[in-house]
Parts: sequence; C-alpha cells; structure tokens
Amino acid sequence: MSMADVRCPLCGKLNPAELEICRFCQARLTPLTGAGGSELEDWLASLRNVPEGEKDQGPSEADWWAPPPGASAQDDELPDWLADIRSQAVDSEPTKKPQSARPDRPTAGAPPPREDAEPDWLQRIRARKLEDEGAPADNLEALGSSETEEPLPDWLAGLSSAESSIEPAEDIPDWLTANKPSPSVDAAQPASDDIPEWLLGRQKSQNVEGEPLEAPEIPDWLAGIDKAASKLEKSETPTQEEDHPASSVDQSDWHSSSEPSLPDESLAPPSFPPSIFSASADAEIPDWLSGMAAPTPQESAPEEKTGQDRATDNLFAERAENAPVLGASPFEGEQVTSSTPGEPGRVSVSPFVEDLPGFEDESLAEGASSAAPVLPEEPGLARAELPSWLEAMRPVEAAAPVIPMRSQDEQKVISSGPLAGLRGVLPAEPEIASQRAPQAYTLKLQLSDTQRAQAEMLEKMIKMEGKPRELRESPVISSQQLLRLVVFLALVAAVLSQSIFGLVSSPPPVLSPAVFSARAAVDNLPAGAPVLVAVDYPAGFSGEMEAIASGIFDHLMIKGAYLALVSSQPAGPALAEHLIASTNANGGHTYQDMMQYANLGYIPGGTAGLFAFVQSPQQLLPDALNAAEDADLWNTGPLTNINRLSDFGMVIVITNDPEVARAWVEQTRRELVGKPLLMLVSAQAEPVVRPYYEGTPRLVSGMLAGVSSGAAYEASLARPGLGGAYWSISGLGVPLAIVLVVLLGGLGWTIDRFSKSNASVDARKEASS
Amino acid sequence: MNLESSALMELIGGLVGFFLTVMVFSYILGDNPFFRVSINLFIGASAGYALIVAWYSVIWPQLLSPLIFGGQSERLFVLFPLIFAGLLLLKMSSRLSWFGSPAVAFLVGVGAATAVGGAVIGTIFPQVLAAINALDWNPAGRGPGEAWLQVASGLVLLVGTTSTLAYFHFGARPGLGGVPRRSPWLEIVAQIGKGFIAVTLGATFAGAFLAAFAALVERLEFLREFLTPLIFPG
Amino acid sequence: MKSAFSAAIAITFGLVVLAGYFIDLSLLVLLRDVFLRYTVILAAIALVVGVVNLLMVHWRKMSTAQGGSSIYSLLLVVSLILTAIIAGLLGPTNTLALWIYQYVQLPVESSVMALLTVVLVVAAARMLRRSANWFNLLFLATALVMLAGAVPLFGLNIPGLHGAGGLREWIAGVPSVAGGRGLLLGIGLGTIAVGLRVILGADRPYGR
Repeated sequence: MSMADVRCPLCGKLNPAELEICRFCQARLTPLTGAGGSELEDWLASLRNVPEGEKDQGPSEADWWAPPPGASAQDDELPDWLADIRSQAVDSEPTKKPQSARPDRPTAGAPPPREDAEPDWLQRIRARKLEDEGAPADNLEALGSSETEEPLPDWLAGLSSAESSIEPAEDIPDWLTANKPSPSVDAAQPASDDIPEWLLGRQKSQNVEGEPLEAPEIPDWLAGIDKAASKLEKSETPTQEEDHPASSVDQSDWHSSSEPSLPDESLAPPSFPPSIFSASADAEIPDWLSGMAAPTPQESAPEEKTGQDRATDNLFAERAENAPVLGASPFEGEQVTSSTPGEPGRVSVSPFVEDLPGFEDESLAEGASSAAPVLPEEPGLARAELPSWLEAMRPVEAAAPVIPMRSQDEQKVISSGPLAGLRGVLPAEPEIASQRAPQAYTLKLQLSDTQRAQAEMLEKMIKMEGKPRELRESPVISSQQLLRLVVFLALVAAVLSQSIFGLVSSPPPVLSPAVFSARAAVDNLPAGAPVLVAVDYPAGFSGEMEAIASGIFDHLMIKGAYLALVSSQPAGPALAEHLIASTNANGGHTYQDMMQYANLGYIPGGTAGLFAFVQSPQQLLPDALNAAEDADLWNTGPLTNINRLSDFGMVIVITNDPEVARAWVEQTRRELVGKPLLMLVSAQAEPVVRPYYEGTPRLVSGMLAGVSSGAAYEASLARPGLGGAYWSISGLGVPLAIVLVVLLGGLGWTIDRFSKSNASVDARKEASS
Repeated sequence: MNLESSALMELIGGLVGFFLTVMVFSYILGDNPFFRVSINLFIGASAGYALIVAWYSVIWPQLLSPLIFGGQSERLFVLFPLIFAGLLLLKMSSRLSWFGSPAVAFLVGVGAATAVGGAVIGTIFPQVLAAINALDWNPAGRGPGEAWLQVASGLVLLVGTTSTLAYFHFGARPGLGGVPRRSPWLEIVAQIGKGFIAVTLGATFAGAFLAAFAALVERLEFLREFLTPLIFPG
Repeated sequence: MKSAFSAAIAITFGLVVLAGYFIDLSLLVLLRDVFLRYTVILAAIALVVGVVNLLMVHWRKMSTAQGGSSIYSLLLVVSLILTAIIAGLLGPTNTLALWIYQYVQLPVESSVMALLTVVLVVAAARMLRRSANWFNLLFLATALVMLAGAVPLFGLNIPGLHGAGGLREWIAGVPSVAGGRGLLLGIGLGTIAVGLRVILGADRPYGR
C-alpha cells in the first residue's frame, strides 16, 4: 500500500487518495465536514481546550475527547487497560462485517473524525490489530480524528497508572470557575457566553437553588434522553435493563451523585468535560479532582468518573429529581461491571464507574451476578469499554424512544466499522433495523364473561327487534279473561241473588269499641252544634263511604247538627251533596237549606291547604257553594262564632286514603283541643288509621272502618240504612270470594304440582332410557 | 225544574249511568273501545268539574274578587299570589315554562315545611308515646285476666312496632363476597317485623277487597234499581 | 342562577313556615298564615294549569291524530268543556252539575272500583298457587281471616271470629296496629327526611 492509497474503511480495499468515495463499495473515504465544520463553536473549542492559535488550524486540531494540549508527556502512553481493551475486543470478533457504511455518525457538537489525526495509542492499537490479523485496521481511523498527535489526557493517564497525576490546567473556562463549590448566579452569568446552552442550564440549575429557572436550558438531545427515559419507564418492558442504553453509569450512581449523602460535597457541583480537567489550574482544581489522582489504581479506578460524566449524570439526577419517577432514567439499572474469569467472586470495575456509596455493595454484586453473558476474555486482556463520559455525551435522539437499550451485559461488541471491537458504544449506524416497533396497545375492549354474555344478549335482542314476528292468532277469549269472567259472574250472581232474593239473613254486626266511641261522641254533641265534615274520597269509593257514613249522618241530622262540609278533593263538593241527598233519602231528612248545612267547597294545597284551613277556616273558605252570592256565611247563621277549628263541636273525616287521614290527624292535632275527631274510613285504610285510635294519647276519638262499622252504627241506632243493606248483601258475596280464592289457588297449586311431578317423571324416564 | 223534567232527567241519567257501567264492566273481557270511551268521558267531566270547583272555592273569592272589588290592602295582599299565579300559568308554554319554577318552588317549600311539622307533632311523638304506653299496666277497672291480656297485647304492639321499624333499616355491612348483609340480630328482628308487615298488609288487602266489593254492590244496586221499573213496570 | 333563585324561594318560605309551626311568635305565625293562604291560591292555579294543559294536549291530539284516539280525545274535550260550562254557569252544586257527577263520574269510577274485586280475587288465587313462602301464607291467611270476620259468613256470625273479642278484632287491634304503627313511624321519619332535604335545598323537585 502506497501512501497515496487510501484504504476504504468499509471494505478495506485500497483506493487512490484523491477519491472521496470507495470505488468498490461506494463508501465515503474522507469524512464529511460541514461548511462550518472548520470553525468550531466557542464552547466546543473550550471543551477541547484548544489554544486560540491552534483553533484556526481546523477542526482536526483536537477531537472533543482527545487529550488536551496541556497534558504531560507521559500522557503519550496509552493506558494499558485501554490498549488491552482494544486488542481484546478486536481479537474477539475478527471476522464480523461492518454494519454501517456511515462512519461519520453525527454527534452533537462533535467534529468529524480525521483520518490523519489519530493519537499514537490508537495507532498502536491499529498496528497491533494488523499484526494479529493482517486485517485492515483502517476502519478504526474514524475513531481517532485528531490531526496531530495529542498526548493522552491526564485523567486517562491517571487512571491507568498509579503514579500518574493530574496536571493542573492553565486555562479554566469561566463557567468552570463559576462551578466552584459555592457557586452563585453572578459567577455563572458572565460565563454563559462561552458555555453551551445545555451546560448553562445545568449551571443555573445548580447555582440557583430555589430560584425559579426561566427555562431549563437543556439541549434537545438531553431532553430526548429524559423523554425517552420517561417513555421507557411508562412502557411495560420485561426488564428495564434490556431497554436502556449502554452506559457506564449506574442510574443509582448518578442519581446518588447529586444526593446529599455523597461522601464529599464537592462531588456534586462540577460538571466538566475531561479535557477541561486536564487544563485546569492547580489552584482551581476542586478537592474531588485532585483527590482523583491520589488513590491507587485499584482504589481509584472504580471510583473515577469524569467531569463530563458527572455533568451529565448530575444533570440527569437533577432532572430526575423533578421527574415523577426516578427510575425513569434511561440509565437505570445499568451496571458497568465485569467479572474476571477465574475469579468469580471478584468484580473488576470499569475505571469510569463513579465512586458512590453502596456501589460496590449493590451494583457490583448485581453486576457480578449478571456478568455471565460477557464475551469470553483472554487472560490479561481487559474488556473493551467506552468511557462513560463519552457514552453519556453521545446524542440520544428524542425521536428514538423505542431504541432498545441493552444492559451492559448484553451490549454487543461492534464487529465492524470505525467502532469495531468496542463494547457498549453506540453503533455507527443507528439500530434502525432493530428498532422495536411501538408497543401495540390493542383497541379491543377487555370484557368479562358476564359483560360478553350481556352484550351478546343485547345484540340478540336488537336483532330480534328487526325480525318480523309471526302474529299469533289469539283466541277470542283467553283463559285469564275467562277466569276473570267466571269470578265476576259469580260475584255478580251472589250480590244480585242476595239483593233480590235475600237468600241469607245476616244478623247485625256487633258494636266494636271504636264504633261505640264514635256513637258516644255524637251522643255528647250539643244539639245544633256545628260539625265540620271532611268529605275526602273519590267517587269510586262513594258506595262504601256512604254506607259507612249513612248511620252517623242520620244520627247527626237527628240531633240537628249544622254540617259544614269541606273537601280536599276537587270532586268533594259533589260528593258532599250526594251524601246529604243520600242521607236525606234514606233517613227521611230534609237537609237542603244553607241554614242546615254549608258546602264550603274545596281546599287545594294538600297538607298545606289543610293546615291553612285549620288555622283560619273563615278566611280560607269565605263562601259556601250552596249559599246565595250575597250570603254572609261566617257572620250570620250557625257559623257566626266559628273562628278556629276548635270552635266546631266535632270534626268528622270521611276518607278512603290513609294519607289524607294522616294529614287531617296531624294538622288538627294542636287546634282540635277537647273536641272529638271521628274517622270514617274505608276498610283498606283501617290498618294505618287505627293506630291513631288505639293507644295513648288517642288522637282519634272514634272510628268507623268499613261497611260493617256503618252497619253496626246503624244497628245501634236501630235505624236501617245503607250500611245495613250492604252488610247483608256482603254476607253472600264476600264468603264466595273467599271460597273462590281458596278453590282457584288450591286447584292451581295442585295442577302445578301434578304437572311438575309428571315432568320430573318424564325426565327420569328420558334419563334412564 | 219541574217534576216531569226531573223524572226525564233521572231516566236519561239512569240510562247514561247504566251504559257507562256496562261499558266499564266490559273491561273484564279486555281493553276495548267502550271502556276507553267511558274513561275519556269520565276524565273530561272530572277535569271540567274540578276546574269550576277551584274557581268557585278559591280563585274567585280569594284572588280575583279582592283584586277587583277589594280595598287597597286586599289588593296588595293578593299581589304576590297574582304574580306567582302569572308565572305558574307560563308553565303551559314549553318555552317559558321555567318562569313557573319559582312558584312551584314556593309550593314545594311551604308544603314540605307543613309536612315536616305535621309529621313531628301528629305522628312521631304520639306514636312513640303510644308504643311506650302500650305496656302501661293499669289494672284499675279490669280483672286480673284482662290486665294480663292487656300486657300481652302491649308486648305484641311494642315488639311489632319496633321490629317493623327495624325491617326498614337497610343499613348493612359488606359480608362474604361483598354481598351486603345486615347483622344477624337485626336480621332476626327484621324477619319478625316482616311478619307484622304481612299481617298489616293482609288486613289492607282485605280492606281493599271490601271497598271494591262495596263499590260492586253499589253499582249492581244501581243497575237493579234502574232496571227493575223498566222490566217490571208494575 | 334560575335554579338558585327557585331554591332560595323554597328554602326561605319553607323555613319561615316551619319556624312558624313550632315557634309561637306573632310575626312568624302571621307570616306562616299568609304564606299558607298564598299556597292555597297557587295550588288552585296549578290545578287550573293542569286542566288547561290536559285540554290543550287533547285538542292537539284531536286535530292531528287519526282514527280512534282522536275520537277519544274529542269525547274528553267535549265532556270537559260541557261540564265546565254547565258547572261554571250554574254553579258546582247546581242540580245539573250534580247530575253530571251522579250519572257520569260516579258510575264510571265506581265501576272501575268494582272491577277491582275480580282482580283481587284472581291475584290472591295466583299468589296461593305460585308461591308458598311463609310471608305470602301469613299475608293470605290474615287477609282471608279479616275478610271472613268483616261480613257474616253466609248469614252467620261465628263466635271467636266476629264481634269485639273475636279473632278479626284482635288482629285489627293488635298485630295489625303494631305493623301499622311501625309503618306510620317509618312514613313520618321519611316525611321529615324528605321535607328537610327540600327545605335545606338538597332536593329541588321544582325544576330550574
């Protein structure tokens, strides 16, 4: 291979140097640089810590992870562990083909790699690889991109050997000084010009505690990490480790790095790229940094973590603190551990793993247990590791939340391309091919069996509604109608036969205490006393109610009581007139004049109306319906002295409705003091009204319930009336109804039992056959 | 109205009543147009009569008469119900019916207050007292056997009342399988109360039948009295 | 807003009347009586509104519907207007108005009530046939005993069943009263609860 030839990083074949694209595989031979690529941003330059004079030399002056110029001479030596990692990784998978034709995977702020600017340690790796395999190592060129040989940075050197120490950097950017242990907003502010926005945001968030941030200045790719983390946390992946990106930072570590439980408070604030550390002045090196070099490799290696790493980690930690779930970090559960073969109990920790309390106890132990799938290593070779700060700085596209993130143990070793041999690094080509499709959330409704059955039933019903049904030819008369007709005819026959022929002669009913009390109350009524009668039943009950009331009305008319009729039913006035007329006809009375009775009319309003009438009957119903227009009912005649309810000699309520009876009892309770309240109620209202009569205090003075009571009252007066007639007629019809109930019910019960027994016998026969 | 016209009116009325009764009775064989005709006639007549009764009993004497013929104080007195009556009349319009809500609210509020007061004074206190006094052993004027019977009845009354109330206590705690269950002792008491309720409802059922039977007797008596002179004029 | 206004009216007047029910202050009692009178007037107006609405509905039905329903509506409207005219012009206690009541209202309503006998007999028989749990048996037994004790059984008064000391009177006076008292207390408590909910505005059964 002549110097003029360029080896294709992809296919490994030689191409003329003037070609930009491989003539064999069309891969790009010279890396692409953007228009502005030669002029780095200030902040990037500061990250590289390139002197101003060298900055003009182009972007290849220093890679962003290349050693700073201020590094000591001993930095030239590649650390053994790194070299071992390289060689081991390359050796382990020598035959894998490159997967990516794009060695220049864009990274945020990172300049494109330069072929001719690789450090010697990288060249040594390359040479060693060539020696071992004879395979082209040019694909590694993309990794090293510095144009000039740069010494290994201090921090790398310090990590590789015990005697290495961190050289104090001469130029510390302002923002670094602003990040000193007791930072303040004022200190951070002037440096903001030189600091990328995401770091500025970091500074602010560190410095201004409690002060509201105007806007969290985090670059998109970091925000993307956060978003990805939250999405990952939300998604129900089997193991988080699988989905998290490779990183040398354990989530618990970087989370705890900002926790107050850190051994050294100074660990928390700094957040610098490693190149800056090496360029820092001695006096301005924080304690934690200066202490980094002091420990022995065994001690320092696992504890070491670069400033950049911390910057990222702390930033994550801070954001994670604000995040709903800490575990949402993309680095959660990651462990950078490897077990040395032959020493299963001992865990060798990556030198980039941050020193955090509890790390060895938990994370390493977990790492040891999960280190089984690690690729076989040759003795004396360290496993390939990408520095954690490098990994942390790689871009994570916000739009790629579904890139499966693998744990350290499952990270692939890049088999080809510029990163060949490295484990746990981002592949040169995004794993588009292996991107996991978004988890499919089924739109199918989750139904229980019951719900499904009900849905099917509903569907069936709806379908049935659409189907035309065959009209059944109903019989002219159904069995139910026939049954009703038979019962009706039987009852009608019983009533008519008893009414016409008087088949049975019924003895008069015995006077019950309630009826006796009512009789006594009427007996005690002064002659001509006004009696308020509430006619509160509908026309349908007039048969029963008139039979109940005829006796007592006859009695009242005999005594010459003045009847003031009122009703809370709209049909009440007509019912009252009918009752008076009926009593006149049956008893031979001539109650027609306003001087004998007053039809006061209708009280609307239900309970409130009754209460209003009870309080002031005169004002509520000033006129009588049966009186002349100019008649002054309340000022002339028997009602002259009636101002309150208790001015009436007696109150009689005739009703079929227990609620109406209750309302009358309740509303007259306080006003009707010392005056009797009689209840003439339908038999159906007796169970509810009777408690007002029974017991103490007795709110109802006397009660007539049902036709039998009316007949008893009439019998006590020895004056036959409607009640007695109905009582006699009922003597045949009601017992017949009882017989019909028992007969029909018993017959139906027998038929049902018979049919059931037949059905069970048939079922048994079928079962036996 | 002279005697002849009165007799004619009674005859016509009897015929109307007879046919209407038969038309309603035809419902025994199922719903039919005759039944519907009679029911619609009844509803119309009842509504018309109620309208006039309300006018004669309340609207004219208490609202319009004071407004037209009353003095200043009377007019002022009826101003409030007049306004609310106007709002209530707007209930007939579907578009403006919400104007009537305040008037209905007034009716409901006053009605509720009256019902509460009446229930406290007229039912709760007296019935609680009656339940307590049911065990009042007052042997004066009673023989020894009668007194013990009184006590036994009082016990039954007390147990029946309390157990019936317990039956309507629907508070329950979640039991096995989340099914709400009353406590065992309350369940026993409630079952006793259920028995008393069965007795009360049985008595109510019997009363309803007796009331209906009285109506049947009344109707059949009417038919008999109407038809007898027609069939047997002599 | 509308709802709040209505609720305010219900609460205000309800509280005043309730206070006047229990507190014997002359002003409260006066306000209570005035509001009660207003209630009676408004209830009468409400009845008028109901009747007029019925008339309008059937008038509309009469003019739009076809066939039988329009005839029924026509009959209802005619009978309503006729009754209103007759009773309105002559007075509700006039002979002609009472004639309408006696020969139209009374026959129809009483006949409907009379039909209930058949319905109840069939229902009781069906209950006896279908379900034989203790509640239904007790219910039916009580009903039959009360029926038998309320009338002479084929002309006979049976000792132990009829009369003041009979089974019917004991059932009506003791267990039935016990159950009825429990029901009354329950109704009373329910009335208080519902009434207070209305007065306090928790229930608003008066629309917007």
